[in-house]
Amino acid sequence: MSPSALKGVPVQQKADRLVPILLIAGVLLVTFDVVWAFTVSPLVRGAQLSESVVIAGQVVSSKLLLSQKIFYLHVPVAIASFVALLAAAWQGVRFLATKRRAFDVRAKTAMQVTLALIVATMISGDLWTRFEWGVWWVWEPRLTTYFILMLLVIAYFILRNAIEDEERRARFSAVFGIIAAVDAPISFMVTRLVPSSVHPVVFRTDSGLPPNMLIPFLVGMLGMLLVTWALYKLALRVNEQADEVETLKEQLEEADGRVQRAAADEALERLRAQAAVVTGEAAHGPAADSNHAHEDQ
Amino acid sequence: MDAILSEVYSTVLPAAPFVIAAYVGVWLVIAVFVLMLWGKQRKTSEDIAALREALDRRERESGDGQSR
Repeated sequence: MSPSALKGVPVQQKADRLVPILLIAGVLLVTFDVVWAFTVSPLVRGAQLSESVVIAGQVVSSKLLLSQKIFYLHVPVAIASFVALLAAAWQGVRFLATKRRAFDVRAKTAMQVTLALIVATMISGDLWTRFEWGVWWVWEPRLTTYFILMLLVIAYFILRNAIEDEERRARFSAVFGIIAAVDAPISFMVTRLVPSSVHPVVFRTDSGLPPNMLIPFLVGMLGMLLVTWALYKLALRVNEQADEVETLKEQLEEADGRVQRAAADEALERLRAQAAVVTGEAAHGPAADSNHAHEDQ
Repeated sequence: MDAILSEVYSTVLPAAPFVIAAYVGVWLVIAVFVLMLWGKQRKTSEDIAALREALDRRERESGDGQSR
């Protein structure tokens, strides 16, 4: 899209028009990450071999691990889930500061994206755990804190559904979202802070990843963040439309109420008029009758 | 295959289904999320159109009522 095509278009609409482009760009970057990871990046080494062997001119003394390739997608998705959760908390803060309904809708949307990314992270992570550790789940610090994170996000939606009043729902959800987001940095840092953690740490400054492993990883991370942003914008559009449905329903109820009130007022006026006629007849009836009688005589 | 090479690659083939499942799983979740959004958008678009039409009808009716 040329910049001239976007001249005079409000910022919000410009951002909306960029959504498909950014989604495609994100998917392409993640695809680039995956292709690079499986073609250029070397297999990492596992358990020691009984004896060394030369493969393609290199001495190999350990088993080669394919399962590590999961991290090229698993880690970007997990980090994107943290970012989405922090974005939800930020929108919650903005709601509490301004009381504007739009920020509540944005916070809810970011939470929906967070939940989708958490489920994706759980699936990919569990498959790695099952293969490498031979079990589906281990109560180690990273998995435990991430599991708590998932429960908090689910609880956020349960809380939203439990509160009828719109203003209270938005306020309580904002506060809960902010509290839930505290778990994101804890979950991210726990493998670095707890020495007993057995969860691999992929993203760190001293990881010593060679460029042919680090580049696809970073590209995949950027791609997944773009995909996340596009998903957020798509979901936001849908939630704003759902919000509009509620507003239109209220307007329709109001319009129906006005019509019913007008009909009721009209009926009341008719009854009053009839009552006035009846009262008039009752009050003046005998006198009028006697007057008529006098006239006849 | 050479015994030592078999040992080198002993975890590669068994890991393949897990790696493939992980990649498919991630994209499947995202695809399901997008499909859910798409379904909801279709429904809300229809609702918005129907509600706007109903509101217009009410306005026309109330306008006719006032003119009479």
